[in-house]
Amino acid sequence: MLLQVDRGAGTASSLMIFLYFIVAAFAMWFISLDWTGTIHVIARMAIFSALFVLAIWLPMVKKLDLVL
Amino acid sequence: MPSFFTDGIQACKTIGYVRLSPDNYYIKCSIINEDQYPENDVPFGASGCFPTVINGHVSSGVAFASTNLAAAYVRGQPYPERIFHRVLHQYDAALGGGIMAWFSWNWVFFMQAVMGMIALGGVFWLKEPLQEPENVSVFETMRLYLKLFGNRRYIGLVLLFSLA
Repeated sequence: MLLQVDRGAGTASSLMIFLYFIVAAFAMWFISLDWTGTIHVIARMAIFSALFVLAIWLPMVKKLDLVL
Repeated sequence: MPSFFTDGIQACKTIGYVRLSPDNYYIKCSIINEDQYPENDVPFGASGCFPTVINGHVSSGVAFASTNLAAAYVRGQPYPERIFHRVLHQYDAALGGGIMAWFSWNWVFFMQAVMGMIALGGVFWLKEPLQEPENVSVFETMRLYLKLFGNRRYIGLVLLFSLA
């Protein structure tokens, strides 16, 4: 990820951690909703997110012309 | 359709081997006494229960490994150590859950202190790659933050890895 910026790697690193925590906080809010089967929802979220990332990874590399 | 973790409370109490049958995908174990925890107690922390931790982290590990494999494919270079690291990294929560179950929650912090000291010791052996430190003002730093939000490649990757 830090290869995507030309300068300010420290700034990019700190923002990366910040966004990780924001997404984690959102996930905690989501799972704190009044679900009838919380464990099932967690398992499905894990499977869905993994499949989603798998599905869009290669198209995203080409679309955004990522530096890898 | 087989039911996953149909008996969540039961699964929370037991770890050790994966029981695979048409109706049961939870993990059982002989390490923890099933009577050790009250009925509604969840010994494996905020992640819910151990099977969920394993399930979720194995999925994430596969996703991370796949992204690294895809990156290696695009670059034309294999990165087995990165893939190995990513997969192993997914088991830290499970390890923490095990420490909580086998000892007590206090030990998680003791282990963190030990790991922190080991990491700090390792840092002193590393060579500083930044030969010419950047002298950036607070204003300039804020401008860099704003600029980063406009970097589609960076934001896209960060959000993708956050989801993974």
